[in-house]
Amino acid sequence: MTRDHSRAADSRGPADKPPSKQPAARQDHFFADPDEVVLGAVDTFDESRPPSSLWSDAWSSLRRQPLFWVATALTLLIIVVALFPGLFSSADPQYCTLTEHLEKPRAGHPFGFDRQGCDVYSRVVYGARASVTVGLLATLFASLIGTVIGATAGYYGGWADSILARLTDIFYAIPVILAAIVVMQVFRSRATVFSVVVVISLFAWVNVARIARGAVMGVKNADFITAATALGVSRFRILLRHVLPNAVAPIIVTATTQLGTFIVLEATLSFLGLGLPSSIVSWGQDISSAQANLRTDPALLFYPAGALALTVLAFIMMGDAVRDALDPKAVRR
Amino acid sequence: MKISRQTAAIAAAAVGLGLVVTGCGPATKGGGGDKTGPTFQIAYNADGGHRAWVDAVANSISNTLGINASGAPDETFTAFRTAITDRTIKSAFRSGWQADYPRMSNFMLPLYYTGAGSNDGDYSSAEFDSLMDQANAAATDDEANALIRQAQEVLFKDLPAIPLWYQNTVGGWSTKVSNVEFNWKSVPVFEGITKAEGGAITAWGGEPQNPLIPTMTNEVNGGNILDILFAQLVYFDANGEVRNELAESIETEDSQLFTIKIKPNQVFANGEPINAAAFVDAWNYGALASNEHLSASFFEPIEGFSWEEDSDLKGKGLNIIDDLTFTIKLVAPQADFPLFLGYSAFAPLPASAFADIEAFGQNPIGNGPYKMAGPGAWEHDRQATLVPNENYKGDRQAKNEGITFKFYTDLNAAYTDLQANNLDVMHAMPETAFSTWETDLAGRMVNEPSAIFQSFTISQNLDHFKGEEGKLRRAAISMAIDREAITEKIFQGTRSPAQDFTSPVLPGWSGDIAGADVLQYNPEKAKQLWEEANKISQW
Amino acid sequence: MAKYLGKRLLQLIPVFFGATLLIYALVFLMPGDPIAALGGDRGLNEEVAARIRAERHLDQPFLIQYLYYIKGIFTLDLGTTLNARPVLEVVANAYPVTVKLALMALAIEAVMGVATGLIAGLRKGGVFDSTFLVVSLVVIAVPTFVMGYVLQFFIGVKLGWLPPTAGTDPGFKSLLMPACALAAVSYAYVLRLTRVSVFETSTADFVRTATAKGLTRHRVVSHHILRNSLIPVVTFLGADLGALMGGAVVTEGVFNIHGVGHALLQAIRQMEPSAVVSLVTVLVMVYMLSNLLVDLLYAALDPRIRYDS
Repeated sequence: MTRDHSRAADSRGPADKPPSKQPAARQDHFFADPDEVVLGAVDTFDESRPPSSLWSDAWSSLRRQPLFWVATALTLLIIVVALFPGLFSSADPQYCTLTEHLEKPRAGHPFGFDRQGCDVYSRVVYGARASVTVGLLATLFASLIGTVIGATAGYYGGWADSILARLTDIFYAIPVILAAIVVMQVFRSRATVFSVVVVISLFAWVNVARIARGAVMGVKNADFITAATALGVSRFRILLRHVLPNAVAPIIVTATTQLGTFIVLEATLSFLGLGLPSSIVSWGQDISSAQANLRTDPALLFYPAGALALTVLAFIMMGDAVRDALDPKAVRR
Repeated sequence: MKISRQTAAIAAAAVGLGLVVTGCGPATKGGGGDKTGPTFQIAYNADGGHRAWVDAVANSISNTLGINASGAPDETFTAFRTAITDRTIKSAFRSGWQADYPRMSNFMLPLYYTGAGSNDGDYSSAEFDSLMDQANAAATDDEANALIRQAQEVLFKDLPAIPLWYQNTVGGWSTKVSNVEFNWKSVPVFEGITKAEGGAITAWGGEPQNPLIPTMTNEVNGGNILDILFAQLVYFDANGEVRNELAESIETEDSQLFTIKIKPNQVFANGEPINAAAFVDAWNYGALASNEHLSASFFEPIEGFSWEEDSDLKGKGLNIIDDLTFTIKLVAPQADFPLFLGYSAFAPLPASAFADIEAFGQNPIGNGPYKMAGPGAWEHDRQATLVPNENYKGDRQAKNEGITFKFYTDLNAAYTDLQANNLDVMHAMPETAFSTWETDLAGRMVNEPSAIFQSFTISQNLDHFKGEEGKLRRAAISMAIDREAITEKIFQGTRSPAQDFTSPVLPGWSGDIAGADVLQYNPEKAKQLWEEANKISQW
Repeated sequence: MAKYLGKRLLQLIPVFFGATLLIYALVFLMPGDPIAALGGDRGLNEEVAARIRAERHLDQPFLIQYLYYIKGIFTLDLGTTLNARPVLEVVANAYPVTVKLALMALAIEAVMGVATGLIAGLRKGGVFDSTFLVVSLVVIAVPTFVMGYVLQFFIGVKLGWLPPTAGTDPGFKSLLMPACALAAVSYAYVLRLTRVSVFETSTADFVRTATAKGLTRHRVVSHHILRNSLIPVVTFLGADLGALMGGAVVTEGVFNIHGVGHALLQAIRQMEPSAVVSLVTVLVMVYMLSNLLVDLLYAALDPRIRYDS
């Protein structure tokens, strides 16, 4: 190392002049005598430490945040409820009889009954599956498609940008309701959660694409990208390993916000008559039918809306924590 | 080890997500019992606000008979209607009827007569047809009504449609108006409403779906406006009794050739005379095939009418005798034809209408208690302004300074305006107000039976619902529906359980028709009948 | 830059054709027959239906119908709806109030979103930040129609501060509530985007330098932090204008506003391709122009972004 250092020192000196022949007055750089510098401190490298990457750094900072653990616990709870609703409720959410119309809560039915006489608690528990699935899958697809298209457009520029951006514009033009009607029609007899996911993803990726494109365009001219190019890293690898992680912050923010709006969008689609069929229990349908009794029984709205808010909160917190951890620019407090 | 924990976390999340994805689908049952067999479905249009009651009916059937039952929404009315017309619908479907004129026959003939225009279930019964023919030819109203009641007994045995309930006349008005009455169409009698502080009455309405020409209008938004813009030969008073309006006399000997004498010295709002030509030319124009008017079917009974090609009624079924007299010749005798004349399609039109029918459709000149305030009084998608017509000489004199129909797309917005006294009268109530409107509008509301009937039709071509088995199943389903509970709890009393196929406000109505017990909720009998049907063919 | 501008304007053309074709096709794919539904619950006679279909070229194959429509655009004759109203009139009637509403909503969400996002981002983790996290949560979790009804009932009817519905020629006051209901969800996006952006920028070196140079906090925030954090926000706002204009159908219904959302819903339900496409085309043009504006703004906001290289 000493060798390297002095070679570097040589290369930094005024060109073509052996340092020993320099008069003292013309010295431009200060070079401490090698014996005086504690080189070890400057160039110490601890070889026993495992190699660090963006992801492991992120994980180690995530681990230390209480916000992350709270969000994880909440998310896990919601996923467990979605997967195993039977563990949480023994009543049948589809068993509705008008004798229980708007009955108040009682033992075994903590949230009371709704307009059709269905058990509200049971519907909230069983509704988690459809609603969370809609939210998660739609966000996943929309974000994936949107990021791929947006990042490609923003990074490669030129023709790719023009074509992809214009494709985005065309898709943007499709009215949600129109797409919903046509897609529901295609899935006619087998309308499931998946059809709603398709409908939502079809137009939601546009937002993500725009954001991704803007973010990538902002990052791609940064110095460290130029440095990576100079080092000979392939364009694609730069995109993947350098540009994207730095551009990902607004995408994650958009994605986690969108997740909540998708579950609510399912409610709006139900309100317009285009959502899931009655045979599938979901929060969206319950919210949409609860508004008929908004003034007299607002509780009917609060329970599914509350469950929805909790889910949204969990995913937003999770998203915030992950984004903070991934962001190389964020200060580690 | 950091990396392995990280991998484990990601792996767990992936597995969890995978399970969620594969597990998505209808929620599994926990209580209530498993149900087998095909699902009994009731189709409806999702944009009509029917979901709540269809679900309730389906639940009632499902719980009582132990079968799967659910609603099957079609996303738009267009899709729903097309499926019915094309007969591609594979389930029961919601149906109903609103009276064109207040007589029981109007609820029977178009829906259940063999081959009739609105007989969407393809019902055909020789017994029913012959009873209706006799009723048509009956000498007195009482005879006719008795025959119609008998015809309903046939319907109760066959149940081509399952009667559900009568829709009530519901409405409310603001604190600014009084003397609000509702007619047999469940629409306010606009001309009678008074406003103490003066000014026009603001009424709930919707954008008319066609130009305001009587023969082109077949929906209520346009219809409500036309009803006060035009006066016909006859009109129906508040009790559904027919009275002469423009007609001096309507005479016939065989119920096939009618001689109409018009009252003298009547004029349109612009001064043009109301004479025989005004009627005959208008009807001729509306019936002409190439004009494609939507209510042309009303002229079908008149001789000379043709769907295939342009055929003048004038000279064939309609003949002008003199300035104030003309004759109508029908293809077949029809005793209640004079009642038909009360339908808005039979309104007269001034001669100037035909010069530019398009402009007329935007600014019609009528002869009723009101007239359009002027060109441009119909502001599309916003409102239509009407003012009293001084040239009108009839019974329905306007007692206010005008009516402004405000077009709403959402009932709740209208109700909100009503509560804030921004709207003076409305004749419907949004679902959101069902539980509170009667207290909100105490003393300013109405809730009484009306001439609107709701049901769901089970086509004669549907599997498991044909012949003997079909009769058993239909009766079972009818008895499995708890109409009382639904009208009380879902509709909060704005509907009344059906007791027959027509409506209690009609003359000659009876709630006591033999066979009407299928409309009573009887879970044990329902299950029994269903089981009997299962012996013939398993569901 | 001029070359870039020219290129972008030229690209409007393929987008126009692509979008109109796609949407025409989608309406075509819808289930049902619009003519059959003209008769309402009573159905329509087959002869009459056949005539009407022939008149409107509905018996022709899809591409022919589409070409008739395109031909019509050049003569500004967009056909008539099934209600016998000229499509052009329907479009012209629907847009003004929608534009008003959308601009108001955009202003509300931009100003409120950036302002609150800025403060939340600067004081990340503080009380303000947590409060607004909850606010954005509530706003996302409550559907527009619920929010609309609640606002309408409490502010419009019970308190009477604002008119509960918009009426025929709504002014600023009548549109304030609908604009708030409409802007609510977008406000949450703007808030969160601004917050994150501001936080990231505030930790950047050049901000530290600016502070070290002795600039007032106010100048640092407004001149350095804000300007540099606005890119994702501006992106979103640009895209949102079109979304607000076309997606307000629920809000319009609740507040009785006769705008594009409702006209579009009506046209879709009645399966009228010419009306749907005409309404949407204007939306697409608005979207493209606002995107162009946003892209040009990128260059202004961030000197590192170049279009000519």
